[in-house]
Amino acid sequence: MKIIDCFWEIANIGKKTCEIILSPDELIEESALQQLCKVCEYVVVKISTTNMHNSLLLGKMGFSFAETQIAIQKDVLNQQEITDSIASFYLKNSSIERINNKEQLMEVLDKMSSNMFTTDRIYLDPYFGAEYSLNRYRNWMKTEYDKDTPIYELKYKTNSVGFIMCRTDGNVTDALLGGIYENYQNRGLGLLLPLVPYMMSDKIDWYRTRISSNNLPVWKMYERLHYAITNFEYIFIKHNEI
Amino acid sequence: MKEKVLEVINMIRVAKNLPLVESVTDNTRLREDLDLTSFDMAELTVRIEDEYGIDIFETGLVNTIGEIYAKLQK
Repeated sequence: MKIIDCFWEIANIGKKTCEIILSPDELIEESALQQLCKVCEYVVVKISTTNMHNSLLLGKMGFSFAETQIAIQKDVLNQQEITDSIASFYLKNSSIERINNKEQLMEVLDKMSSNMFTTDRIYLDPYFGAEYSLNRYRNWMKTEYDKDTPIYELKYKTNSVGFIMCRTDGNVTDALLGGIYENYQNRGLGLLLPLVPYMMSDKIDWYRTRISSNNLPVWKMYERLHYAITNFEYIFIKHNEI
Repeated sequence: MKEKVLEVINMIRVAKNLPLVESVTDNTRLREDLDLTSFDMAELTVRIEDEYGIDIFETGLVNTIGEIYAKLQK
C-alpha cells in the first residue's frame, strides 16, 4: 500500500490530502487506512478494477466511487500514417508551439477556464467545484513549467485553441494535461488532442495518456484515432472531518 | 445549398447508424435534435469547408442549421 502525502493539495484545494495506490493483488490495510482518515481531510484510493475485495471494503468504510481512469497508448512509431480523412484534415491545419517563457505561460493560464475541465473529479465533487479544479490545474502547470516539463499551445489554422503538457522519458511521451479553450469548444477541436504526437518535431515511439470515464467525448476522439487501452483503475474518494 | 447541408448531415448520421433526417428547419439544433457529437462537429466542419471553402466555426459557435446557412450566405 503506497501512501503519498499530497502536501501540494493544501494550496490547490485547501485540504490535507493523501493518495493511496495499491497493486492489483494487494489488499487494503484497513487499520492503516482508518488511521489516515483521522488525519487527512481528503483521501484518494486507486485500485485495480479486478480487486472486488478492496472495492467492497472501501464502500464499507464510507468511500465513494469517483471515476475509472483509463490508461491508453498509441504506438506512434509503427502507426505513422493517419488514415482517417477528417483527422488528416485537422492535422494538416494544426501545429503545436512550445511555451518558452513565463509571460507565455501566464497567457495560457489566463485563457484556461473552469469550463475546460467539467469532467474532472475535483470539478464534479460538490465539496470542491469549478474554481478549485481550475486553480489546481493552473498550479500544477506552474510547477511542471518550473521543472522544465514541456507545455505547448495547440494551434488550429491561425488560432491558439488549447494547450497540452507532456513529459518524455526515453521513447515514451506521457500527455499529463490538455484541453481546448472555452471559446473553441463544442466544434470538435478535441480531435487535436490525440493528434498531438503527430505534431511533435521530435520523433516519439509511444504516446500515452489517461482519460476519465467521466469524459466520454474525449475518449471517443482517442478511440477514433485507434489508441489502445492498456489499463483501468478505479478511483475512490472520501472526505473526512478532522 | 440547403440540400447539400442536409446531405452532409445525413452522411454523418448514416455512418452512426442513425436514421436519415428528411427535413430540417433553421431552428433545428445540431447536438440536441440531430444527435451530433463533438467528432461529428469536426466532420461537419471539414465536409462543409471542402464543399464551400468556408469554416463555419471560424467566427464563433454554430448551434443550429440556421446558423450554418447564415455562415454560408455571407
